[in-house]
Amino acid sequence: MQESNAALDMINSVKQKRNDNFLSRLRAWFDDEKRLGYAMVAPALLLLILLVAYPFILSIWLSFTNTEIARADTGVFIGLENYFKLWGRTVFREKVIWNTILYTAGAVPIKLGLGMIMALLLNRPFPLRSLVRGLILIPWVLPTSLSMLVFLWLFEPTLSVLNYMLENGGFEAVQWLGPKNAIYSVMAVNIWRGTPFFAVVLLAALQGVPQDQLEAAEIDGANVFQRFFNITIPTIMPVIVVSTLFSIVRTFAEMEIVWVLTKGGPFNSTHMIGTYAYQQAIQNSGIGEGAAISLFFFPILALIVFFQLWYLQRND
Amino acid sequence: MKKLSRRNFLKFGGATLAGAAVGLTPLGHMAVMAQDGDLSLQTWGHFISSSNDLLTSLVNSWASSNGTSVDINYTGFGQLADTLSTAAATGAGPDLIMMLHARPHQFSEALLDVSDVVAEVGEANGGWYSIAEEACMVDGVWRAMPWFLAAHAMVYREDLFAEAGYDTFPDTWEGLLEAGTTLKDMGAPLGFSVGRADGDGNNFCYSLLWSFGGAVTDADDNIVLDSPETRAALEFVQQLYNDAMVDSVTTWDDGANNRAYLAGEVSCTNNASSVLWAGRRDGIEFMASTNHASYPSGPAGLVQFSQVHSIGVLNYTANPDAAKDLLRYINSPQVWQPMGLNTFAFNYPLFHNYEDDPAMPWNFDPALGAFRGLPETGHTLGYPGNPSAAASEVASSFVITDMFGSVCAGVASIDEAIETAIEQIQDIYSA
Repeated sequence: MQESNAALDMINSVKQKRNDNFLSRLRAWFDDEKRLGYAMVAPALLLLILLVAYPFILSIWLSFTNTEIARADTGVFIGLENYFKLWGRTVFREKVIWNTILYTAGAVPIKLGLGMIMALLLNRPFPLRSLVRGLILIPWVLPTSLSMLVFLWLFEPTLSVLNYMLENGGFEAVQWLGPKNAIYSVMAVNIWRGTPFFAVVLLAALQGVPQDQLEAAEIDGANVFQRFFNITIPTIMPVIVVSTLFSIVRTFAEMEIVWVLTKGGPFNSTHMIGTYAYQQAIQNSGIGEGAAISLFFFPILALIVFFQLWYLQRND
Repeated sequence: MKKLSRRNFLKFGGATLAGAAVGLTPLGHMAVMAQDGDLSLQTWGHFISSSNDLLTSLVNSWASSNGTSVDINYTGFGQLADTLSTAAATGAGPDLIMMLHARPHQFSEALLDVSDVVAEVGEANGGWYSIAEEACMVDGVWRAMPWFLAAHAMVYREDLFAEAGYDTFPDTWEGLLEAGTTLKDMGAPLGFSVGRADGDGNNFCYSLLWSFGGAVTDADDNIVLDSPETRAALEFVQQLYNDAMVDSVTTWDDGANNRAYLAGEVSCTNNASSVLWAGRRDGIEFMASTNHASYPSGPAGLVQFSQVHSIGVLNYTANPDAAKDLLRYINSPQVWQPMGLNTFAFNYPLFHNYEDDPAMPWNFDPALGAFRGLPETGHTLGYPGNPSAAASEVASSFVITDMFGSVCAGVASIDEAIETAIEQIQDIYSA
């Protein structure tokens, strides 16, 4: 009995030593900051590879193939044929591309402008400021499909609340989602949803603007516009650039608002890259073509990102 | 100790990732596949929600008496299409799924051959309507079990039509134009969606096109849209829009016509029985004078686009026999008797057995009588050509509704509308 206990103790002590050795070796290994750095970055890198790099590379590959869902005879490499086919298509060339550019070029500057105004107002002291700061985020945090139900009612062809008010005010009813107005209506909804993002990001940036500089400028006689354009804007410019960049990419890829409200209609007047890619890839099973639609503007977006980041680096 | 260079680190990361991907793939499949003997079914959440409860309880009792279980997931039509695409592409998802129109043709390679059980059910129930075969049989093989037709008819205000001098609903499109012109003058226009409404819009536009003798393709899938018949249909719809319809129909989605009718804004629209069902539920007064009539005839007769709903078994299922048993049960009298009654003629069986059944709503509710035997005049997408994936794509891309709508809205001439549609159709059919 005693012998066996002694043997057990010995085994445990060997195990303990091994563990201690392993831990101390691990500790020593991570003493090297470089290694520790790689280890810290590894989980994020793994996620990026899994969730960004892999789908991205796969979609590039798919865009060069004729892959269709549930068609065994597809999946063949066809080079740039999908891209040429898209360019030859009137709906894509004259509607989808134009609508996407109009939508992005129209909505992003307005969101930036309104977001800046909101941020400046929210940066000033007033009663219930914290509550208001929280409330303005509602459009941005609400699930889009849910908030779109409200807009469906606002723009409803027969029972629109907006038209009810217009008609009661002696005006004519408007076909909000009609061929002439639909693009502007969906753009307005995008502005409604996206402005709080700019407001919050810019508000955070405004709080980092050195007060002493602003006060000194005020003492030196600089008016409110001079202080804004010569101190505030240059200080928060990196944030403006990054948030605008983010918004351009997101707005370019818009899908939910347009699909819920118009499905790209009427007569393709609101079809955009996102809705058209969804229609072709998921509804019509053309995964290869859908990937090509999604990537069609990638070189241009990449250039925009490159120039904005280059601008930021230059100003550093 | 050997240093971990960036390159080595990336190699290590890549190997880990590859290992994880290889390991996760079967796990991913395992997570969504049903356990041995169990099934999952994804289907449309009926607008009469008690019908979902009824179906769940019937299927559960079937499952428990067969020593299995069925997980039923109710979703919208859009989600059904998305799930079907994803399931077919990844080989993982529900065992059975409901499909619309000619989807069994589009996804035939991902669907199990269910010919044996379909033949058995058809034989036991007085035979299938031909539209069931059109939608679900691909190259002689049944790729889905026909389930029901979302029967569409003209829903109209008898009181207003009588006031306009029409004691019965017009049986031709020309007659409807004439009545509609008077009704619009009375402030009670007609309303048929020529917008992006998958169900009601496609239903109206295809039915009008076909009953005027026009078609997207002929029986051999040659594109024949540019024809005198199509032009006649477009000229007609232009006049119908200008003289008899409410302006906003170019923007109507699938719910807009229901809302407009229930709000008393239009005197007639095309729909399934859901308008009457909702109106009675809400106690709307003019439901007492609301009736249904079959679609009007055109120069080529009464040819109607009809919405076939079917259930397919995905070929990755681990339980094909149990899945086929469930298909058989869903089309059995134990399910159809209560479901036919509860779904208020929205679910119309695709076999003949219940046509004269006095317990079915179309035989005892006078306002639903127009639905009786409706599948007889119906066709699915592609008619008179093949109900191919291309035919589905023409509809899901709204090529035909846009052609009609753009003429109504005046954004395109008849020539331009046909030319735009043909360019898209050629592109789709040549792929």
